[in-house]
Amino acid sequence: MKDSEIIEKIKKGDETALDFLYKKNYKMMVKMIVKNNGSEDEAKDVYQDALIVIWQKIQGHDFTLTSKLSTFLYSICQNLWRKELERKARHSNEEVNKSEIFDIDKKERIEIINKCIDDMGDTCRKILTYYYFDNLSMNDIAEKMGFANADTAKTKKYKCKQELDKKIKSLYTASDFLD
Amino acid sequence: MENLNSLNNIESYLTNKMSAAERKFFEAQLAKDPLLQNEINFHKDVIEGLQDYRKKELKERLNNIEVKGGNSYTGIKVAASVALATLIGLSSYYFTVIYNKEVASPQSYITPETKKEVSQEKSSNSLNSLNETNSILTPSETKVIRKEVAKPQKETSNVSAHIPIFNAPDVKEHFAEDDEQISHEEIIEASQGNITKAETPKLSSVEIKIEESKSNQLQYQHYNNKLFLYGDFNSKPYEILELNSHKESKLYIYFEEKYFALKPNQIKIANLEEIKNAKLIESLKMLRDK
Repeated sequence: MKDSEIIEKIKKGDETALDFLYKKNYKMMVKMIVKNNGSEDEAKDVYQDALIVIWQKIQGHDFTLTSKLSTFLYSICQNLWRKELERKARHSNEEVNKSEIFDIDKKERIEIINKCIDDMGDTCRKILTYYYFDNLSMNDIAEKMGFANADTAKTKKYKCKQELDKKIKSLYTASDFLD
Repeated sequence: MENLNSLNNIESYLTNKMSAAERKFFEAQLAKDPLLQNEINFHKDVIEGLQDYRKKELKERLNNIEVKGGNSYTGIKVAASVALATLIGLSSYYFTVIYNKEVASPQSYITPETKKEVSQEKSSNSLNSLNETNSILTPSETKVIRKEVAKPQKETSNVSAHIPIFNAPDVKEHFAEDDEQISHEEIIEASQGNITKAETPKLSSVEIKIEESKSNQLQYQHYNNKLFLYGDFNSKPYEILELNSHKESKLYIYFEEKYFALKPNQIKIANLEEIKNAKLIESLKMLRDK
């Protein structure tokens, strides 16, 4: 697959293009990180994150590729790994990072949200995650989900989101977050 | 913006879909409206939750992709390593071609130990400094494929075979199932250390078709990603040799004690040209002997 084909597919939210990219560049990226003091597991983790960054970037509206995809991926990998090394260094130096003292309320809220997302129907969950994470257009979502058109996707998305909000809010009230 | 609290506005704000002016106005309102702030925070959490969910899902998807080639770290080292050593491992494959159907197990294949030894040899930097001639003599990676044809096929005119790669497959019914081998190959190719290498055409996944030819002339062509060989290749063994330098992969064929070059861009049928360059013959010979 050529870069341009991969990009076209990713723009449409076709995960097989992501799989392809993953396999194709795996060794090179993992090697780069392993060479720079990473374990293989860390390398894999960072590489996967980098791919997901690419996935989202490509789906962004103003994406244009100025280099080869593998070069782009390589630089993202490098950056992420540099950050990870910095983070590790900080952690060994400082004992407690104040910003990391965990907000218990927030933790509980996130748990509720995650539970509600888990409980959602597949269709709703897909629509919402494609929309909010993958940045897919309503057209692409309709195509991917087999809906008649973008309007159907839009209506469904709206309903799903409302349902989810409602569910989360009811659980929030139950555990008394919102006064 | 008649209703600031509307879901649409909040969403456009959170998903960066507002124009600069709208955004500015919205933020001004937000600053003096705690209820709206609450609402924003709520939706922000929900959206982040959805994003995290999807991210985890995608990561899991990638995690479940098996990257072929066993222990990948070893694999990387192999690929990074240069020099003749790789030849050893990837060599000697014997199989019998009968009607596309039966492939006998190969007789030798590389073990992880061999790979590790191989990897100590050289760094890719030194390879890059080599000039063209030298790179032929010290290929970064080489594969030797041998095929021995058990018995002449009279009625077949079309026998296809994949160039085998790396690990040995078990006996298989169809060549078409050889995907696994191809992906081994891709991994090696992709991991050459320098990025530009990743796009090298993957010659080794070229499929070979043999057409019995009426004339005695040995001919070949690349067509439709397949390598067509014309001549008496079904009754006598031939070997496809692949020399991968840091720049490109080159294919050669050994047949009846002669070496021939297979130019990658040969689309029309052409006669096989015997190689005269003594150095090249020497290195191909070394390849075969491994």
